Amino acid sequence: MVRDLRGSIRAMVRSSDRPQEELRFSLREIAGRAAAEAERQAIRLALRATRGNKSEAARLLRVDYKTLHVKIKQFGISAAQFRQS
Amino acid sequence: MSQGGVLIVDDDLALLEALPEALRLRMGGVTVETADSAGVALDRIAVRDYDAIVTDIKMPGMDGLALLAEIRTRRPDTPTLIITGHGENELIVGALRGGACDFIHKPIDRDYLVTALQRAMATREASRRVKEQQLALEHHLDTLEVVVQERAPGLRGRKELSESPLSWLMGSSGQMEQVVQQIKQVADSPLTVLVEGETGTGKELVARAIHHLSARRDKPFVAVDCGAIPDTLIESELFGYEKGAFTGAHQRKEGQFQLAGGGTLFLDEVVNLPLPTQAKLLRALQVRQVQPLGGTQPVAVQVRFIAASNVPLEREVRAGRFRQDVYYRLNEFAITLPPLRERDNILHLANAFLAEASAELDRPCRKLSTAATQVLLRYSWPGNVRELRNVIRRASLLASDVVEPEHLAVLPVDPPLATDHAQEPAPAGSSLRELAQAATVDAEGRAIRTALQATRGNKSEAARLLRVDYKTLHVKMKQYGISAGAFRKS
Repeated sequence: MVRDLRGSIRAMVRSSDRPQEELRFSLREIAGRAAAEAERQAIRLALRATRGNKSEAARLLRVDYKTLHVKIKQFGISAAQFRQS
Repeated sequence: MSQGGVLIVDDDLALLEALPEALRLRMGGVTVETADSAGVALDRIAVRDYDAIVTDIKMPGMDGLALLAEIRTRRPDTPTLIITGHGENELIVGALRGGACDFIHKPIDRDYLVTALQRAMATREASRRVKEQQLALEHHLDTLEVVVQERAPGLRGRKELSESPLSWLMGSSGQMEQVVQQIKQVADSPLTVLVEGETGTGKELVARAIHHLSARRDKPFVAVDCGAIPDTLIESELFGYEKGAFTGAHQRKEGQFQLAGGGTLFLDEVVNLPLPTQAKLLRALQVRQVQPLGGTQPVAVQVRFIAASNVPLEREVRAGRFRQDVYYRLNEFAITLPPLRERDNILHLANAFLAEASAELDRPCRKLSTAATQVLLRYSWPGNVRELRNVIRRASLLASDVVEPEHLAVLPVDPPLATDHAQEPAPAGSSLRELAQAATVDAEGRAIRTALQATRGNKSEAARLLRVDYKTLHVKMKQYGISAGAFRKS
């Protein structure tokens, strides 16, 4: 029954391409992905605003430098790319 | 005491003759006084608060550096400039460390002296104004404190109300005023109360308020969310069980009925009780006795019952899903909470929640923009007051000063695709953690709605789809103001 449901939802996703896509994941995964995506966006924006200055960006985002550094690595963001211009 | 002007201190009498006139000409008639020694200067400082002091560094007797130190202690706000002769450069550092604001080499460049003096005096004026404002602010705070103290006795008189959760319900709304009157009326009676209202209208708050205003206020208030407990467990949860009543019943367990002894038992979402359990509830309501599972002796219950339903119970009775006799027993006194969209105090509540969130979360935002208030008034609020509170709390995390429509995100019916977020500007002034939290709340709410849509409001199925346990889903739905009922129709 559940499998049927999940199957039909997948079919629905394929046909409509709407956010039902999310149901492939557990609620925890969905929450985790959303949080990570928000962090990634925020870090990119902060780096752009500070022209790649990581300690400035950390201050803007109110995290300590080390945490920011770890997350930058984790998300594969290059701080250098914001330094030009 | 005399105010203002410039004091020039130098043992060079020729300089004292020429410089004052030159300054007066260049500085629009500023008062200039002179002193030919540090001692004379100190006498003058004692009776006059100068805007600036210019002193030579080398003087017989007390020198300029010693004078500077005296000025710093007696007139810490007065900027002091030092005149240095040729080859006294090493003294400059000492003077600057000692608090001199600038230095001028001999022979004196008068234009430079004037510029330096003006700069020093402007700085002093600015810091004086800041101080004045601080004093005014402190005075203002003192006044406020006095007002608070004066009004405190009046507040204490209203303690019963302000300490109870009622304040959450009220606020310049005639409809809610009536509800509050009903609560006060019924609180101290033994009547069983039925509270009806959509999800998030504050049914549990009403129950707590009744308990709080009753003579049972020091006894337990036990809330049972009948929708959060699986059918198979509800009876053992409510009535308790004896040791050996079923496999796994290793020891006796008290039910919520016994735990609420002498206090108030709040049966939330009572409509979710299975029919066999309703029969047992009827017995508890009629003869005030329950029979624990596996027990032979009935146990007396001395509790005040308050039940709540997010759907009109009478409708459920007519549909055959709820026992009529139980309904009559519960409905000794009925309180109906209007849905938020029908209330006239949405903005009042929104502002109250904003103030609450700003204080609690230490956020600076204080206002709703006109556009944002329009959005709040137009939205249908299926999750009612709880949803409003959540929306405002999240907005206060996202907004830096004024809450704009984009901070509200109250149109979850048609959620935007995740990729739309890429174009959103950085919410100014939010920490990384707050941003991540807001995103989590958004995503979870969306996913839960999607799952409920897919399962037509079946919470167990939705929980399985989302791979969370039933209770977690239930709690989160409450938190986000999502009602399964909304997905059942259609």
